[in-house]
Amino acid sequence: MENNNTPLLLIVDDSRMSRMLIRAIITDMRPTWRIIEASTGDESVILAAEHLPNFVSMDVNMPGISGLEAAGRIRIRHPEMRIVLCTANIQESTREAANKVGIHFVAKPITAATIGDAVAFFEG
Amino acid sequence: MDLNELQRDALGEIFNIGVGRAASSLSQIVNDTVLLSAPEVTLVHREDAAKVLLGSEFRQFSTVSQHFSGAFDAEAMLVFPESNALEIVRLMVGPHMSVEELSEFEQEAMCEVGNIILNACMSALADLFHLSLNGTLPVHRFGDTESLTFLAGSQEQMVLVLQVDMTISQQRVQGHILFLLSVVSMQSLLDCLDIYLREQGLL
Repeated sequence: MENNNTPLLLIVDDSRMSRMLIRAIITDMRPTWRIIEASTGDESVILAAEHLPNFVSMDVNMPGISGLEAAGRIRIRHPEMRIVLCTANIQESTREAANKVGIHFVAKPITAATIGDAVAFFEG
Repeated sequence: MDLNELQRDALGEIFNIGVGRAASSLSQIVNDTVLLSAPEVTLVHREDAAKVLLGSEFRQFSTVSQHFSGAFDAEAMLVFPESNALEIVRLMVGPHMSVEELSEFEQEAMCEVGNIILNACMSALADLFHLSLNGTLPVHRFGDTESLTFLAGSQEQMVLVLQVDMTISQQRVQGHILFLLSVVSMQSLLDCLDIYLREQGLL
């Protein structure tokens, strides 16, 4: 039952396993959410412009432009989108860079707890 | 023996978590941001591991190795070109030391870097698979591709090769992380991985 009024989440990760995990946990927590996926930062910028998702879950270390750069580009054009960096890059400098541009940070590994944290930020 | 697409992806992502933790620790040591590429995972027979290293741009290596045992046994090894190794040490101890002084610290500092990176990778595996792996103390060696001990020997072994590019303070350091496992241990690792994927509903 596709309903265009339900929230749309864009999952960006170069790892298929990570995309599958996030999708599975979100589907469990928020069965009505619609989900689209991108496997690179470049693709995420295009999909964000095309589909205007409400929320974005963004990995950082990916081939091509980094998730931080992609998130920055998306944010400039769509400041209303809520973006979470979901990454194994847990350095203070990454957290600070995310905070500076109003992006929430959650550390991998992907578990129900970390995704719960992201969902709370999306809905907060 | 080979990895299927999901296994390769999953191992890359799990080691990416380990490498991310290691980068965080290293960035505190060198007091600077450490950029690490997502590791590229390949599984090769031991004799082919030589080609992977020989194909790289360097000949003289600095290596740190640790043996891990538990649900599977693995010899974990971090391999850097020797010139890069000294650069890492310089970043760790600061700019005020002479080359001679740096060389004295090199073994100790490389053991510490190896300890951080190898343990981070193995503990990412151990945590997600809910098992415990015991590691020996790190051992540092210099060598060229001919003298790397793992290239000799008769026992059939698989080598899980992770290529990682690390950039610290604009210095690009190309390193390899190698895990040497017997065929039996490699199968145990893949069994653990499949159990994990099944638990997550991905298999």
